[in-house]
Amino acid sequence: MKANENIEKVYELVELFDFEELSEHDQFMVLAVISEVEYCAMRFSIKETQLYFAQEDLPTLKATSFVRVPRPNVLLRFLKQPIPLYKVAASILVMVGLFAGYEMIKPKQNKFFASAQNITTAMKRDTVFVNILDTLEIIKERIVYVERIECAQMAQVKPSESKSVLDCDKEMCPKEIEMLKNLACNNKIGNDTVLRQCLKYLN
Amino acid sequence: MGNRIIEIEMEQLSDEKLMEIIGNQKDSRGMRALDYLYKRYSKPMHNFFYFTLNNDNAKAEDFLHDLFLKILEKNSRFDSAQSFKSWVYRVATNMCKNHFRTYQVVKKYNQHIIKNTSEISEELNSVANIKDAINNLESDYRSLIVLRFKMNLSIKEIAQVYECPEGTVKSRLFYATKELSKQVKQNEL
Repeated sequence: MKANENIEKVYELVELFDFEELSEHDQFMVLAVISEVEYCAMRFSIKETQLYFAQEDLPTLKATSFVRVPRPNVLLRFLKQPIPLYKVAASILVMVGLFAGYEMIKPKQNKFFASAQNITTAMKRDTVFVNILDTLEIIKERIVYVERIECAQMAQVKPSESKSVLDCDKEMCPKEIEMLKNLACNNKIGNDTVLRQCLKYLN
Repeated sequence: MGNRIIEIEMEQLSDEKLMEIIGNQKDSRGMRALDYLYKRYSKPMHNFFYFTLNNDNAKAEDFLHDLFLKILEKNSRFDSAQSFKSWVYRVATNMCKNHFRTYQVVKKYNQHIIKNTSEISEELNSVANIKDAINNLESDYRSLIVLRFKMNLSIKEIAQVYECPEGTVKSRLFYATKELSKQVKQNEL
């Protein structure tokens, strides 16, 4: 702290007095900080600086009042810059290339194509199968998965007259069961897993 | 007549009051107040910039315009409790500091060229010596020297500009003067 105080004091002296004008006490104090040569050099510099600032021609100021000069909009200037055509073409090419590459790399989803015909015909009827022990009872009306084949073509067993007449609109006729068996053998059954299981029982 | 009264009133107002008017009314009255501040401070600030920025008059005028633009636009940053003079000098020294920080490399390159071409003129009078010595100083030292010996600011005022104690200002001036004397000696050799 004392060293700093001495420096401040030395500066106060060097601004105002030459070394010879200092008292003995001040001279001792100055010599504790800097040499006499340095003190004289600093004193000379201060005098020369004051002389220079006093003599130097002052610059002329043109504007007598403040005129606000509007700053140009940097963004507008940037947007107005002409863009070379080759840069635009190159950037489009790069974007197309990236998009094409992404499409190639993208994993393809496996789509499951159910038989359109099966789905259409399955929608025509609701089927509910109830599995009772070892018998199969069809509750609802008919099962239609493919086009109905004429019963005459598929019929192999003719129902006897003694047997009660089945209402084919409401019940499964033997002809239809036979038809289903044939369809199962020929693997023409649609994706109804319940139906497949039921047909196993029929077999 | 009414305008004349307003002008007389504005002439008598302090710098801090004028700043208040600029802040409250950014319209014709505010611009008038700024004009009065410009009349009071344009010359000294222009001189400050001229001597701090390597005696470049064009640059000094640009900096002067930017300074008053800051006064107008960043008026809210001025605390009316403090002195306007200290505040404006503080803004100006910071502008110079930022300028030197940005163009430090360019400055060194220019000094290198000047030193090489100085062989042509052999006689350097003492005024030219001191001018080169001041221009070769670091920006902080240079601003300090200009504030003290050209703008004739007191130690107390400089302390307000730099927001530091008076003792710190004196020790900085001591080192600035010491560096200046070294530069003068180098130029003489």
